[in-house]
Amino acid sequence: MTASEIPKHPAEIFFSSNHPISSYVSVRFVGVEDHVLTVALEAPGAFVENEATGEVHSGLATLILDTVLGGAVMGEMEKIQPIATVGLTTQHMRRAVKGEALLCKARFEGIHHDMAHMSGKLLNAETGETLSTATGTFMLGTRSKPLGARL
Amino acid sequence: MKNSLEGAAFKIPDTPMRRWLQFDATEQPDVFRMTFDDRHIGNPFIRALHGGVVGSMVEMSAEMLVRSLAQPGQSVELVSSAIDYIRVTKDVDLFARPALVRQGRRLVFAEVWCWQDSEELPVARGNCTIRIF
Repeated sequence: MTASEIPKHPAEIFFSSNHPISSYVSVRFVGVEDHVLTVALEAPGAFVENEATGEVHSGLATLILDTVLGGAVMGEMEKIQPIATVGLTTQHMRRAVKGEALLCKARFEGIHHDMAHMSGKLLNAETGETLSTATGTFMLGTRSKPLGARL
Repeated sequence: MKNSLEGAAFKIPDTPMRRWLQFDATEQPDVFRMTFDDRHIGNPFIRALHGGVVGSMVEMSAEMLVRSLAQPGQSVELVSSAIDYIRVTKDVDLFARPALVRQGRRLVFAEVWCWQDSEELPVARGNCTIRIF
């Protein structure tokens, strides 16, 4: 079996697809070990909040953590199915700076009934400094059409 | 104590993040609008907004409320946010109404409700803690 024939991890497929997020944040799959998904990215200029310092808005961390926690859920499922974020709690310690090399790690905590529970961190890729932390809850097998109904 | 942006002489800072989110004021002084763009999509199959985009809208709306309360020269910084995704979103504009929960000397607690079609049908709510310094 050649390298190109080795099945990709579902999270790798998720992050290499033409997901809308890839148009503004280049997220690179690094690996999965012990139920921890790691991706790498650079803080993009489009999210800058303070042009004098280059600091990006906290929304970048919220967006990346939601994406990576959701991607990690995909990686834990036996078959791909739609998921939806039900709750996301984020703590921000320091803003990333435009161009800063970052790692985002998402830990699968468990599934109970149809709810997946995740935690994650956004880190400086060189020093390991924690910039933001998050916990997220995701519903598995959500509707395939936007009916506007309650979950 | 003032509990909303009503009557605030306040201008939204024009930052790259504001432009990316397409975040603007509305005719109602305490309601903000995110004008929908395809880049805000999180689930292409059902064309739902990205949860992180909704989260960013919650956070920016709460920050704008707190900026309106700050004295000249003071800065604001989001400490934490907790967001509940109440309904499925779709590919249309998103609105947010932030409200003050409590203003302390160094911290402000704010609540934000978001909706699309009708304020009676909220799609998300958030609680934000913001440092003022």
